[in-house]
Amino acid sequence: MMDVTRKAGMFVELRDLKFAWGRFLLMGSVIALVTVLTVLLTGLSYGLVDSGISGLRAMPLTDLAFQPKTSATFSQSTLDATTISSLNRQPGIHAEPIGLTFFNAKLAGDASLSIALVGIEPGGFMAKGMVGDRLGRAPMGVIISQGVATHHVRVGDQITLDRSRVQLRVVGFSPKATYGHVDIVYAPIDLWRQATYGQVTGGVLPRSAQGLASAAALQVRPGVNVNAVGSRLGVEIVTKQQAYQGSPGYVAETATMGLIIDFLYVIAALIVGAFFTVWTIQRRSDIGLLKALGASTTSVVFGAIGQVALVMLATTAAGVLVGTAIGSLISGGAVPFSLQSGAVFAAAVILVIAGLVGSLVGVRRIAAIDPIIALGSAS
Amino acid sequence: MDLGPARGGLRLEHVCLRFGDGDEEVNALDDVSLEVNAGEVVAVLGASGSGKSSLLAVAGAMRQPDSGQVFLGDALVTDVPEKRRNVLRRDRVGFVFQGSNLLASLTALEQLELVGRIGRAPREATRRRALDLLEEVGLAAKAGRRPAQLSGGERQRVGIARALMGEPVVLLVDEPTSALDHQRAIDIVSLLGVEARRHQIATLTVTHDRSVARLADRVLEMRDGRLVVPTDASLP
Repeated sequence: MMDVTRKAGMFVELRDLKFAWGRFLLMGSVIALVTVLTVLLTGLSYGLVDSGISGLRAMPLTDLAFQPKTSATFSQSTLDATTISSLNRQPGIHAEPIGLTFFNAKLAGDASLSIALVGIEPGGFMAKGMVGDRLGRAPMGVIISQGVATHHVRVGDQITLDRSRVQLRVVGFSPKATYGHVDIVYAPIDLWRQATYGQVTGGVLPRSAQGLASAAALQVRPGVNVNAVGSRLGVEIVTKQQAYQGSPGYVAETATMGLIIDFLYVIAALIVGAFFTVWTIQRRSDIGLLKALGASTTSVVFGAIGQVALVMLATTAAGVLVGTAIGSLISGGAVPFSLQSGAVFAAAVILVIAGLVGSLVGVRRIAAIDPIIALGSAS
Repeated sequence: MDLGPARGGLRLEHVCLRFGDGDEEVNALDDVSLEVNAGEVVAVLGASGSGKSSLLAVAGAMRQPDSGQVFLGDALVTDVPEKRRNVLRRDRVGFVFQGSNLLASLTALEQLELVGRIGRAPREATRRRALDLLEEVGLAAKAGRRPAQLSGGERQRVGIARALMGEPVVLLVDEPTSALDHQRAIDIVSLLGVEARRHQIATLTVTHDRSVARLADRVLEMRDGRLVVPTDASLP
């Protein structure tokens, strides 16, 4: 590896960092604060994503079949039993009905809570992958995710769904799972149908609603042409990741957070660019002197870039540490927050690159500085 | 880039340099020829704008003249690529700048080590030479001080030591006594003469201070870009 300190520019600029530490500390603090903000927003962004689709992400399926033109939205899609059976008969495809409806639920003591009631086939691949064989044993029995359990709900408690007045009985817990920022409650698909389609009949399932589901959960073997199957059977088949788009608010939230984070990258580039432009202007005579002493433009430019890289690395690392510390305090509370080390690392790398790109505005000036300015009267 | 062993001396042959000044064209150097031998100190007097700094810029391979030739020792520096001129300047020229022109963040010792770093000399040898030179200019005890902690005369001594670091064949000195009182100015110019003769360096000093020019081996004068021998009456 090249010993950068052998470059004359780096020799000077390492000492400049020490000598003008106050100026660099000031600029570095701003970059560290931008990094803290970026880390927090990244955590918030992932928290919102988790809150939006963690339940769907945890489902043991590869694809989902929806009614066409419903944008992979459970609340807009309905499939009948015949279609789902036809899907299940396709080579390489294993299909099960899945229902998902949002409810306002009353807990013991009249507390209310929004839930996403997910109906799945007891004993099917979905149930086995998420709640085991606990579903469908007890009448009206449901499995609640940990988010619901935090509202002091225990096994044996009753949950009453509004509108249909269907009463559910808690028979077990599952790991935290949410969809559309709402905690999931798993129910047998027949119970889900009763709750969803019995809303106007007082919890009695109409004959016309028998066998209906929001969508079909699919396990598709690699190589199967799902588009052809979908066209043939009149359904829209999307991958699990594509189905995230159907989660309420998912697209708007991720786009908004992404935009804010992108703005922070631009702000970081502008801050570093402005600082190093002013810094380069202030160092103009020093750079002229270095060139007059025979330092090549390349070595001076590399020295300046090395200085920016050091400042960016140190301040970004400090920002990541502070941001992670604050994030760990926020995490697990009411704010949807999830720190992913990969995402934080990627954000930090982008910030450093943004700073380096911003500094090029200042560094570019170095190339244009004429060594003759070292001769006082000629400058 | 290995330039090989350098022989001493500075030679300018019929050098002309013109540049634009608004709508006018100024003859900064008008057919200037000059030879400074190894160990010789030549002072060039002149008023502001007479072409003194242009003379240093061309002699120090910072500017390409419009015509004429410049030799640093046995190396021609005109009509060569900028990269080679940088190397020639690094390896053959020592500069003593007006007001010393030291880097604020570096100690006296580091100001000298910097020259070694630029020339990619071994670190240990660079440090030894730097300490020797600081000893030579009487500043060994202040090697760890930054420019702000040194007096004007001390800063200029560091500047002289720095100019000697690269073992130059030519020393170019730009107004070495500006911002110094008369006695310190005499001391600095005397030191320059001593060092130039000790190290056998061809030294060209430009100054507007006629009292310090007396200490040179030869005195010339720039008038409107032309180098002339001053009349006795114009000398102090």
